[in-house]
Amino acid sequence: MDRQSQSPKSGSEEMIFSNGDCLEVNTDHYNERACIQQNIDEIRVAVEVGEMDRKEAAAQIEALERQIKELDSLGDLDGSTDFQELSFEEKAVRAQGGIDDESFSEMVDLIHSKDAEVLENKNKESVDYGWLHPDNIRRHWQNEDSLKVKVKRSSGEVEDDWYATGSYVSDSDGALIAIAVKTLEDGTFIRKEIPLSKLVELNQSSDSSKDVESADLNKNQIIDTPIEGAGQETGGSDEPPEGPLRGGPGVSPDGPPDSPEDEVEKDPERAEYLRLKREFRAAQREYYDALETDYSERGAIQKMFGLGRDSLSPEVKVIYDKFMEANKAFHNFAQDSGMYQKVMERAASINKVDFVPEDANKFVAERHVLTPAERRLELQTIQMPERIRDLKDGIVSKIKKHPKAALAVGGLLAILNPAAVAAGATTGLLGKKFYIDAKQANQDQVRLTVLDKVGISDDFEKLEAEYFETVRQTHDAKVRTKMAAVGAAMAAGGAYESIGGESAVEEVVTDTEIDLDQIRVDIKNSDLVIDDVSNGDQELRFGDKSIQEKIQLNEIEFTPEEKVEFDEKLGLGSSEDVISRSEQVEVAADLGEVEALPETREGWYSVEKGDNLTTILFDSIKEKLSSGEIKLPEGVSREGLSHYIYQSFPEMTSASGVEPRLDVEAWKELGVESGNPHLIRPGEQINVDALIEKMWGATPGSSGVEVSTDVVTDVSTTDSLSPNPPDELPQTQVEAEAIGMTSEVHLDNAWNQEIPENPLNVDGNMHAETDENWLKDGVPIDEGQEAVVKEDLADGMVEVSAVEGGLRQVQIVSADQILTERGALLKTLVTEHEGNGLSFVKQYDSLYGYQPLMTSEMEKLVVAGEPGVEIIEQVQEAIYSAYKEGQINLPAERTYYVERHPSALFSFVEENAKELTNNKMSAWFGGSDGLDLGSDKWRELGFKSGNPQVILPGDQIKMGELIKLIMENASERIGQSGSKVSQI
Amino acid sequence: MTNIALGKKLAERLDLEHMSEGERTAVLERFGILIIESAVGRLLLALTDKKVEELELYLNVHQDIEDVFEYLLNNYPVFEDIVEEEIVALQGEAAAVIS
Repeated sequence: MDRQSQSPKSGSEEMIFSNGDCLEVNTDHYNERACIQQNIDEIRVAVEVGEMDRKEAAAQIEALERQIKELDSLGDLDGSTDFQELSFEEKAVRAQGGIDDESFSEMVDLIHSKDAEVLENKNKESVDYGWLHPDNIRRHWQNEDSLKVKVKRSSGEVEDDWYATGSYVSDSDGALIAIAVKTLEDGTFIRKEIPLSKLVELNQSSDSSKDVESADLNKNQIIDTPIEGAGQETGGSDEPPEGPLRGGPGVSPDGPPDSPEDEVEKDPERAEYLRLKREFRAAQREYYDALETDYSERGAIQKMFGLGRDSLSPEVKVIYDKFMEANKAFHNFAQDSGMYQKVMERAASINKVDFVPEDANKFVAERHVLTPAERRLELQTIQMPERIRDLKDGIVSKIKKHPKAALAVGGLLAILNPAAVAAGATTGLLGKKFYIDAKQANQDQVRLTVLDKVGISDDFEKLEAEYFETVRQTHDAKVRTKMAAVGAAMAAGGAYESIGGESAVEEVVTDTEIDLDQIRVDIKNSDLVIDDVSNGDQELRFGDKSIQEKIQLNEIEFTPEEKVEFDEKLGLGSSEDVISRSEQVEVAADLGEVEALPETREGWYSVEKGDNLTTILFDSIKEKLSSGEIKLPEGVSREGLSHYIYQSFPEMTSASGVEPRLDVEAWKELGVESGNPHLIRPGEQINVDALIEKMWGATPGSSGVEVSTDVVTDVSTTDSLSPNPPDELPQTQVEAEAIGMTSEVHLDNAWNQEIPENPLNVDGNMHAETDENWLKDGVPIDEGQEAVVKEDLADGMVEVSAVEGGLRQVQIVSADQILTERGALLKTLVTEHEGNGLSFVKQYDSLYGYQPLMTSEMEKLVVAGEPGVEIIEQVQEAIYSAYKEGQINLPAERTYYVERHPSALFSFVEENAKELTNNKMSAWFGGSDGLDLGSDKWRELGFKSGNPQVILPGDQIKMGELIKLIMENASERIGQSGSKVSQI
Repeated sequence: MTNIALGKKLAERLDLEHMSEGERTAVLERFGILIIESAVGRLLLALTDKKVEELELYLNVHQDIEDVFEYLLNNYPVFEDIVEEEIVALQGEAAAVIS
């Protein structure tokens, strides 16, 4: 019987071969022949009684008769047809229909005897059957082992208890139609025709919801070397085998699997596995159902779209948490018990591939993370406006064609520590800057970037270290600052150790827990909009509001022709690129959020990204002074204004232990919603006028911190320097911070728009009246603390024996010697070990240590400090210049980097002199070390404040000495690192 | 409230280093696609109709655009933030399940 020639109707119809009563027509199933005939009779009756139009009835009867004809073509299922005349599919139907074992065996014998005839598709080799290859299915049948498949019913429900028959027909277009069968509880046989491609896709896609273990747990699988306890799963395995069966037919089983009861008795571990899996599945279904219902009922997809927990409604969050608990419990048991290993080992055996234990983790990721997230995204996508959905799908489709982006994003997801991302430290690093810069670097064929290596690296620790080093090398200071924060967070996970550091804060952060509700809030830190996480439908997610406020499109580069076309098509009257504030308010009003987006009131300031309260207040005062709206209080100069701010509100300094002038509630009333003047957020409205009013009403010195308003050298274009004696300068870091000197650097820089940036002239001398007691030729040096030039070192080298495994003092050598050494080092690093990159240079330093070298000229270097410029920037620039000029050498690792990017030295300074960075996260660097100098020593080095973070006008920094200390500290760290390596 | 313990990267949780190259690439790409798809969805939903239309037109005109991801990063500054948020969200989910 040539089933292909019969071309039965294709697709979704399902036929029930039932011995029971006639069922409803046109529901899920067509009835058997008698049922159809009964319906024909009923139609005829309906026509006769005038309840049905004759023409319509005729059409329906014709259709029903066609069905009967097709049923007849399948043969007499009552047994009158010779069994051997049945098609393979028909035999399969009979076999699965609850016939007794004896009959089944008889049928199998028949199949064996007609081996050559059971495969009906003559061109099977040219068809992509996937694992549903007829040969594969045939072998199952011949081994009395049918093959389960997943089938999507007409209702849309996917069932997993169907059996592939290995029989295929073709539709009118020649496409193959697969036939699957199943047996209902009442013994009814159901037959379904499914386009082969859909059946294969449904059963063979990489959808991780498929249970790999079903490959070996189902009795229907090809069993090569059955795992212990394998058998029919009672837990309702809802997926067919995944990849493992793609490899083609397997071999005969060693024997029949155990019954579920047997396996429970024999393997309680497996019973527990199945129990947890059932709970997982049940929780998953509940979660998906809740999502689906929630999405369809709430409707406002913009508020819900995205991954993670915080976009869920409160009701769904409860169910989500329950699912995640079940998810975790199942995962942990499956992993800890080794069940997943067994499953994957089994799958590999079936697939005839080498077993890689770690590959089981791919399945773990898919089942426990990816699939739930993908399913959720799918449910969200359904709710999208069609146009948006199509556009999204189109974009994603394009990206899939160039998977580098996906690999890069996935790779960064994998190599970054949650501690880092949760701390908000990754902001600005994962996207444009890093991705595009790295890509550009690759295009320039500089070297393989981290992103390129993500897919091929076998050392993620190294890759991670490279990632951070790469980002460190960017020019952007902001990114570098953030980088420091990343490093701190990375240190928490021990990652920083890979680049030579120590994890000082590891214990603190590793066990830290983070509330998932707060993740998005945390990552935004103070840079971005932070609203309360949505607790319901009345609020936009903060992220969305952030988006609304930040959408700024760069000019899209249309050609002139395209532009005309575009304008005509859109009828553009305005090129406004952003959702305007009024639109935001309008949207917010629709959502009952008008208050969340108030218009800026007069005298109030609307916080924007990057603002801090000091700057806001400072600028506002400055503006009011310029306009004549206010005047400086008596005794307060412009230059002392920042101190006046801190004096008025000591809580705005970073000093600890100061008495705040305003309490939390007072700050909130002023618009600082956090109640903390250090934590303001974009969108907040700050009552600046009220603050100024409080300041002007404040009595200097009455706010808990006694500060002279003239503490900073009073500099103007014509005036002399204020003759403040040195003992009025802050003597300790705390004191300096208490009066806001740290921020003074920044503020003075802004203020200096009206005054010279540096009181020094080009000759380096201060042409102003000075106090002879503490200023000498423009170089403010305390008595007895003149710059020391060690004359005995000036002309030659100083031989200092290296301290094995520890600090090596700087050797004073000639520039030629430094350059020669550098050349040799670079030659070694670049020509012989380029491909090994970071790992080799690390080994180099560990093996050989780092002997710091410096010229005598460099050692004597004194430079004018630049107020307003971070000291770390100045030191970095000085080191770079010295390195390029052959004045100093650097560790091999730094040599390697600095040849590629100057700012690689930023982290060098940071790691070896953490006092020079004002980034608090950086100060916590597990891998950073400090110089541990007292304030007297810092003053000796030229920082009059005694604090390297506070550069005062006139500071003359003994840069050579400072760099020397940094280099020695580096040698000590490297020496310690080398010792550790040697111990290992 | 669902708390997660920090301290391990997903690469460690999944032992990516030792995963075979093909599998590793596949799983990373799948993670990446998921994040990007979610981020793209959020971006589009945040755009005005006019901007959606503009983007549609641009992509239609530039069918041969090689790297749409880069294009989005370049032209929609907020997209970078969204991608990061989605990474964080997915990391949170992974960390909550896989210790």
